[in-house]
Amino acid sequence: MKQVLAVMTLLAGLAGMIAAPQALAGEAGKYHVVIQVSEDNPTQWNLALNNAENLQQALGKGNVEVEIVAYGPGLKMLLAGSKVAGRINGAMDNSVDIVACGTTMKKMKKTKDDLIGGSRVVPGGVIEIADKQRAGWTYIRP
Amino acid sequence: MLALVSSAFVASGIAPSAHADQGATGGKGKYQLVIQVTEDNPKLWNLALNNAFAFQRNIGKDNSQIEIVAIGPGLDMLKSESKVRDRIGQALDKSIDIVACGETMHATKVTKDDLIGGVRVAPGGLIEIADKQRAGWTYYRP
Repeated sequence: MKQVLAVMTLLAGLAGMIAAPQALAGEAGKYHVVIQVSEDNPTQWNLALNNAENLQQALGKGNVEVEIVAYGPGLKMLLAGSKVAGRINGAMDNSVDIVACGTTMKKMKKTKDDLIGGSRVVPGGVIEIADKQRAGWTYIRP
Repeated sequence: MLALVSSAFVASGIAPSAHADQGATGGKGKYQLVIQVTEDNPKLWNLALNNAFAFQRNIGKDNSQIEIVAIGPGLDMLKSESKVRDRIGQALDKSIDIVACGETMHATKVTKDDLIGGVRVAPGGLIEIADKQRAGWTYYRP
């Protein structure tokens, strides 16, 4: 019987390891949502910010992790002086991860100093979105 | 012994659920597509419907499951006076699930009676899309 128990424990452990990659997506039912902004269009920027806010409100801030990735013409959303700068700061205060595409920044000759403080820079916006989806995140393009 | 070992898997709840998850995604090779409509633009509505019909025709009705979710300004697509009303009826006849965002309905004071008959109401459109993606559905925004 002891042997059987040992095998069961081992199997349960193995099963846990197998399940680990799925755990990120389903971790205690937590939602993970990555929102794409690739247009130079303040209406779309506001929609993306509304989506982030509404998700936090509907699910509870502790139950959802939200990231907004801006690239291409959408990078303008995150430049200091952006029409939605105030709302971006509000989103950051609510723990929404605000991410800028490093490749776009290079092309547009922008540095981190040109961005709204607190923006995170990743090497590539599209790759960031792909990586999130591969890790089980939900992808939304408003 | 075998029974105990398999019950260890069942008790861990991992192995069976892992299979169930895969079943939703690739079960019998079934394609599952969730289409987002968030714009008040009949051209885009027709595009979404074209995509759904073409997808179903190409993959086969029995091999595919399609859902169209209308959110925000896109909700107009599903109202009784919608320009694509007839095509929505055709989609419903073809077992395409047509879903309205309950949050948008609440915010814009729209009731189920204002919508085309047969439309399903989900509490939140974005959460509906997130849930489908979590269940392995493919997300598509025309």
